[in-house]
Amino acid sequence: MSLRRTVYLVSLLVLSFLTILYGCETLKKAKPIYSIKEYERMIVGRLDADYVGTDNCLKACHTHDKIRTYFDASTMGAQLSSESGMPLVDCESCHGPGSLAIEGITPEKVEEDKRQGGQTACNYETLLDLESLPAGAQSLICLKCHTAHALFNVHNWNASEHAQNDVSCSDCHPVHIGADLTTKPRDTKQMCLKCHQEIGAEFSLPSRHPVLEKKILCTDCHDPHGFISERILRKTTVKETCLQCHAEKGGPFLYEHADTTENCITCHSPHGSVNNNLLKVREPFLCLQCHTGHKMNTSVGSPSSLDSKSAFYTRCTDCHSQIHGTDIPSASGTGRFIQ
Amino acid sequence: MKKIIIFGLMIVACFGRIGLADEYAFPEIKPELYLWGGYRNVQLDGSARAEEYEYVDDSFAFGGEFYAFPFPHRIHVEGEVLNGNDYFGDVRYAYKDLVLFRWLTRKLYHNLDNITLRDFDSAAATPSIDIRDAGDTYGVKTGLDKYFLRLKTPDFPLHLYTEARIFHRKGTLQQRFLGGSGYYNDAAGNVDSPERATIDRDIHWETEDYTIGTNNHLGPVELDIAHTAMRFTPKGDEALVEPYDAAGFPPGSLRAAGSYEHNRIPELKGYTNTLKAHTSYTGRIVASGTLSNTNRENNYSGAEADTLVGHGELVWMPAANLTFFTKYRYQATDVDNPDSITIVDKLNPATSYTYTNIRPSIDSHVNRITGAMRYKPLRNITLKAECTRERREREKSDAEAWHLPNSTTRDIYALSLYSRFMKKVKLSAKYVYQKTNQGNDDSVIHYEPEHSGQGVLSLSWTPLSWMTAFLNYNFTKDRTSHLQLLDYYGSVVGQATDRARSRERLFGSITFQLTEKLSLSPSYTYLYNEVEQDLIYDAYTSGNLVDDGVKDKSKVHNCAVNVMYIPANNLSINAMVNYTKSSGEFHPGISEALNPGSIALFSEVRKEEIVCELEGTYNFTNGWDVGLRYRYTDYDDESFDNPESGDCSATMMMISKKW
Repeated sequence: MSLRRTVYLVSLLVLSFLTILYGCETLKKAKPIYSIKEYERMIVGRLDADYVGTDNCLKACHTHDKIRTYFDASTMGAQLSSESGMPLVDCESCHGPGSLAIEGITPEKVEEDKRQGGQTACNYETLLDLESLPAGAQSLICLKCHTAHALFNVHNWNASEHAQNDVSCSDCHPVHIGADLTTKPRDTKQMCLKCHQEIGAEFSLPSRHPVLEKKILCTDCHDPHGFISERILRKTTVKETCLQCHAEKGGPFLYEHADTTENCITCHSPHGSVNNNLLKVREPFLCLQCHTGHKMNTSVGSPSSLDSKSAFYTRCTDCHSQIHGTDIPSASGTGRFIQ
Repeated sequence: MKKIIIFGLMIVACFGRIGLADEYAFPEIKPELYLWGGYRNVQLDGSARAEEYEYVDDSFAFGGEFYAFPFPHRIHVEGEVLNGNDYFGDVRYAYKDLVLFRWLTRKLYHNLDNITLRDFDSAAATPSIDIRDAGDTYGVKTGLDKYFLRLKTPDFPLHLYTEARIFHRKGTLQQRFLGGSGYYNDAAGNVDSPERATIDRDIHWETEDYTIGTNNHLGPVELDIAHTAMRFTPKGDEALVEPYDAAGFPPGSLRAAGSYEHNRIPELKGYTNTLKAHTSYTGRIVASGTLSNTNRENNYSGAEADTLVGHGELVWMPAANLTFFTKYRYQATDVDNPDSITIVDKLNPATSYTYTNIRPSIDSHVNRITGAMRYKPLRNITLKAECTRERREREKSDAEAWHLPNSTTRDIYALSLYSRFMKKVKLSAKYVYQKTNQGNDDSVIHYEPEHSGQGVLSLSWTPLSWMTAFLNYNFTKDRTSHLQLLDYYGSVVGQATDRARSRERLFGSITFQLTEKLSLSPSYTYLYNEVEQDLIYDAYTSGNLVDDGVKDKSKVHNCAVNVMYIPANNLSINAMVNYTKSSGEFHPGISEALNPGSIALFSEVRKEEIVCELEGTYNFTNGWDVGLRYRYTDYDDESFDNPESGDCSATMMMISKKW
């Protein structure tokens, strides 16, 4: 191999190596396709203000010390920049640059105001007015960093029912309430029913999932961040969601109930129902909507006895007990869900 | 050589870190501990159905919360144990942003019914009942454990995670089944004379899901791949065995008298593979896609089901007040079941019967596309329009075997409005219209409504600073024409009927903040469901008995009042009263269904439930608190069949301390 060729090959190898190294370095940087100018403009903050850092924001007064402590103790507080060693996220990451807000506030002034029985207020109007922002802009404050949310929770957020209906991240995530930044699992009922009040009444019906009793959570079945199935259920289909707990009903079975069992809410009302077993309609009427009833009269044409009627028209599932599907043929040799 | 060394140093200089940053000093945060302990006294009179999800026995109870931040570690533990069958726990640990662990555990007790079959004429030999569980009480312990572990690479958004979900149910429940000959003629060969039976059944069912996955941020796209393995294991009585008589079988039946299995719960296994990808959320165009393949297999019969779901979403926001959403979903279901099944006489294993008359399970695929637009003409008004088309196609031979339409097309149109047209008034309204085309072929059954309309109206009003009112009205109406029913032999009756359904729900609540320390929230709910349809019964005479326009109605009235009162800085009281009255019945019309007694009697429902809760806490100055939780339920069941009335009170006294 000639020297020239060797030099070319080595150069190519080195160039490829450098390109890979550079590529790895830039992989973690966000590259939005386009920017939402209007929303991004809303969350930039005052262009004539500077970033001053959390310490400077809070050093003069102690009003927000507790919030700062919670924040430092949270997941966001644990994120440190590898270059500077300082927290990646601080007050100004969400509230905008704070130099104008603390202009003129010194520890001496705070002490003086306190001696006179007052409290020094910072010029908070120069910060972002988060509550007045449209829901999309409020969410963007979180999403500008949480695009790579580790749990992929927000994978379907943008087209989700909540996002479409102007629910923002802060409606459910009380960021300053504690170090957890999320609602406690058993408090999700209160949070969800704050908006979905009429659903709460369904959980008072005689047959119900025990959501009001805090033994089942809304988030056991629903993903509030959105998902690909209807009604933002946790799994890809209604049936898969129910089978998380009721796997014994799911099959597949040798003898299926046509494809009615592909969707549990064909017969069941998952929040609550007047009827046993969360049925939308009671037996036998439920079954009589698609099937003819057993004989109502005798061979001589007179009505069958009350005893006979009670056997056939109390609950079809007294005999057809494997109504979700079965692997065993009935006595007649067909799949009647009797065995 | 010298050149290589210089070259290497240049690379290090480009990408190495020159010098080290000062280490960040995390603040010192004192750990917090809150513990409480107490005794819970439960008094039950009557049916345990009064408290369906409570373990009705006295017990010591305890709980608490613990937070500690010995940075870079973060620890959080929370728990509440009412008794060994009712508890909640949440344990979380994090190390920087590199390791995240969580364990969520829950258990509850479910009191179940013991339904007593009724014999209206004990003098008559048929039909007969066989009650083998008289006086038994039933209940099942239900528990869920979730474990989650996530690992992250330092300074790089690559995550590895694993999740385990274990759901288990253990206890005894009632099994109802058809005994005798296993046919609706009884063992003596009397026609239309079933022998129904009830028996207790031990269950120990466990569902396990284990997931492993990874996600990474690759420039403008994020990617997640996960694999989940699932297993359902039915321990306890996997199947029951019953001696069946031959007499009463239909002519030509394959099976002779013998002991055969019934109500088998098969072991199941499966897996799901999921691939997700989405663009950055800060873009004017945001797209996401999900591909998921789920496989389920029945280890007993060999039936297998595969479901493939592909889903894509595109969000385009050309302006801040205008957004377009597009979703597409494809779902393919492929179910295979064996062509035959062999059952064995358990007392005589050499005797077996093979059945080949097995209808194929239904393969289908569904395409669904949705387009929506959200427009904000003014700051306080949002309009939304949505259009969906869904087409389900069943495998032709499967659809014919089941007398179902080959294809079903649904068109769904929705319009909604949200407005804050006055400062204190929020209004939202939505109307959804759905049209389903299943064809007009009367040789198949159409069980989906052809036309359906749903409307929702919500109003929130704050007339005064201390008063907020909320009103919600929701109605649904649908109609199914060319409705066909299946007869006893599984054939289409050939007599088209109509079905009309309507559902109404009205909810109203008002919250009064009477003083800074007292708030009152009454609410009222009305639910009404109605289905009207022609019913068909088999008859000995030629043809069928048609019962025109039979209505099934259900009605609920619910009233609730919540009170929060803080009479003193160290005393807080919460109280709640909830009253629910439910009723349901259907109304047959033909004389055969009404004489000698109406068939509607056996399924009518009349229930009233009152739930009262009182909770109070008194704080002492030294960090100690005493508390009381009281809950009373009065469940009055006047249904004709198996009324299960009872009342239950649970009182818990607690003492707690915070450090």
